[in-house]
Amino acid sequence: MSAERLEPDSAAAAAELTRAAAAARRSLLPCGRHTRLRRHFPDAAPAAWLSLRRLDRIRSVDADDQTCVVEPGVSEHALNEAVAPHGLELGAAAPCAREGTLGGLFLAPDVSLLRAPWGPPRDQVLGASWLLSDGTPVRSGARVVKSVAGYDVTRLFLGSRGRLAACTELTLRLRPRPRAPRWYRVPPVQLRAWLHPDPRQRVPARLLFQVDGALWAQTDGVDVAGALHAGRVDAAEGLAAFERCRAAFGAAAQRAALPFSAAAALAGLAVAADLLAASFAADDAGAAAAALGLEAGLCRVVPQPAPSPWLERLQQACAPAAVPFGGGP
Amino acid sequence: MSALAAELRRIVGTAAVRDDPAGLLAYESDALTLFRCKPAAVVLPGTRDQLIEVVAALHRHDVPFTARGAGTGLSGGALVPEGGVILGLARLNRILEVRPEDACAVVEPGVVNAELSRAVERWGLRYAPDPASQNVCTVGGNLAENAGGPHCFRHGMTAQHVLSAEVLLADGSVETWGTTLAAEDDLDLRGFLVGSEGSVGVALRIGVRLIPLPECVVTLFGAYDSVQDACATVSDIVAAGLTPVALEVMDQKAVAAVEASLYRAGYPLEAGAVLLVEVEGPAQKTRDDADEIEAFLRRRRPLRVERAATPEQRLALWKGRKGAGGALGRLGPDSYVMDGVVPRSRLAQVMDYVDQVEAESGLPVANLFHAGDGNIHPHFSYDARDPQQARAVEEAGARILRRCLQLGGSLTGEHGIGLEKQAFLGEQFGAADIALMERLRRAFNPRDRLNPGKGLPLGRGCAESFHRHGGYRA
Repeated sequence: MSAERLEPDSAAAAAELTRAAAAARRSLLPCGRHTRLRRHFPDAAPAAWLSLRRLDRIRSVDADDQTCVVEPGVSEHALNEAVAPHGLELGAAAPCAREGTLGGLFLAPDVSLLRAPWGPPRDQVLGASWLLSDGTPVRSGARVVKSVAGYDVTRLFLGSRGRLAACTELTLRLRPRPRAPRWYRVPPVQLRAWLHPDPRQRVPARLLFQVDGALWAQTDGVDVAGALHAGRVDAAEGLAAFERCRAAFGAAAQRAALPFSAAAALAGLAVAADLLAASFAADDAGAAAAALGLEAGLCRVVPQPAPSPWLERLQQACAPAAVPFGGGP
Repeated sequence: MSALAAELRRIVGTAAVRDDPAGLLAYESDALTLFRCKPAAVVLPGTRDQLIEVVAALHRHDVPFTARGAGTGLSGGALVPEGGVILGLARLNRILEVRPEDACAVVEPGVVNAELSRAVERWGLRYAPDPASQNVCTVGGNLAENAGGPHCFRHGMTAQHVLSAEVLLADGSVETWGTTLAAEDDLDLRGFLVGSEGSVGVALRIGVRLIPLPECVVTLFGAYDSVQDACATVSDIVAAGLTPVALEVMDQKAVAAVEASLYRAGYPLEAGAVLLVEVEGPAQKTRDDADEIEAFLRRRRPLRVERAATPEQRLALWKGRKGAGGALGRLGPDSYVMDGVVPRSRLAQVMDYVDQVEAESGLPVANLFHAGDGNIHPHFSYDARDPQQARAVEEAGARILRRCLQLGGSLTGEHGIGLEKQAFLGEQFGAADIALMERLRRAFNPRDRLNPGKGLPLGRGCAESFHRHGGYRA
């Protein structure tokens, strides 16, 4: 990470730096605060980093429409602080909430502990502004919660880890905070009720995760203490466990997902896990899956070991005349 | 074409290739009758392998083709320019695998949306996207258009429910994009495919997410003096942090049409607008939420409030809304169902504008809309044989779409750009944005043989390939 680091403080300045690099046929790699790069690009060696961390303004919060426009250097934590007074939150809870950037969260495929209620992180992004590697600014998506106009370039770019485009602005959907959250510590013997194979029999959990060998759950407006003799805990204790789980996901080298039917088996493993998503954190996910007796094909590791064969073709399409982002030294 | 037709017949059998005028008639438009174009042939493969072989043959002959499900699309997406071939996928209608314990299924593209939900009901599961045409439209067509429906306010669009796809590319090669596990591909090609209007690839097999059937569902109904009061009530509910699964509004003209049809639901004719709200989830919480919603429904001087808790009562309340499309279709010889989006807080404003356009154009417009999403569907009734009316309806539609964009919205929430809205795409996106989309299209579809002329502004010379307003050629 000794390469030069460019740190523009506006989208216009980022465009200028990108154009200058393109003219010099110099390869840049967009980044935020380098919190996720270790996992995604262990060997990256661009001529220079294009860090977007100083693009850290919350442009607007539209509480009535439950949307906001932010620059990519804003952290998940900062955004949630800003929208909490409106009873809203980001529909994703990822590792690196304070130290990482939203650009990093959405551009590098990451886990979200709010996946069960709101889907993966990319489902929270409605539109975005980008720079192609020749410096051309483009926009994708829309500012409304529903739009199918044009190709879904947003989704394509979000998974590209910055190699198709550098993000300069994000329009996000916001979600209502749970109105009556209740936290539980779940004894392992009860796990079957929380993960019952018949969804009609399942305890309606909003969160169900494991950290430090213990299981925790949150419901919204549903009291299960009586029915299940589950140990109700106060919010502070539940939130502290939630933060520990996030941190454990952030610290592990890999994340992996299993079929939902295998989620209960994760409770036997010494890993942090989101049981509703059947995903877990591990330094060697393959070994963890093997310990569960799962075939390698049933465990999906993120980031994927082999880059997509489409990457080069799509880089060519994005900026036909320019050196692609992350194109090597 | 005759050499190709012979080859296609060899692959799929004689009966599964139609190139006679009568056989082609049903394929010359989709549910948007504004555009028509007769294909050179229709091929109806019965198996995945046949479909792959057909596309390879079309590729060799360099013939444009368009995949088509049930033809219920509302933006002209399922047409092919003259000389092209329609791939009718309705026969590929097998549910290949259901994994109830993993809450997912793998289906062929021709599986009918509602049939998938019926097939998985026994495991307590359902397929969430519910476009109005769900009893006939196909999962493959839903994928191509990123279809929505009333319940996508809470459950999301098709993009949130298609997990993976085995994709047949323009040159006949096959790849798998996405996974049914909770881990996204680095490069979300699956996400790019959904809503690409058939121009990126043809889905051979589709991995879909299934969601649990709710323990409890409550439907509430409110009738108001005005659309404004109904919209304000929607805003009250959402602002309180409640998350109903559906928030649907119909205006007075839509109510009148429904009440005069066999979909009569007993909605009050004197109401300026009616609002349907549905909540679902665990029993106690759902009842608590419904109590709160009912209080909001009563806040803005309703003419009537109802609450249905039994399936029969719920069905009765939904009957009018579900039948509205059919009821409105009978108001004139032709209809034009629009699709635009505004931020939810601008709904009342855009509806005022629709009223103004109606008054100035002299064309009757009825309105039903997904209020939670700010997704409007003005419904024009007109007579396409009258050139003046045909022109007026296009002008009126253009004004409404432009207004949606001025208010910070989008040209389409769930119907797609198709042939219908290409001319406006340049008003929502900049030239560089569209040029990028063009280049991406060519990356997947280099010779532009897969559904050419849809979704993006037409190239020079292509516009004449499609005939507007039933322009039958002699």
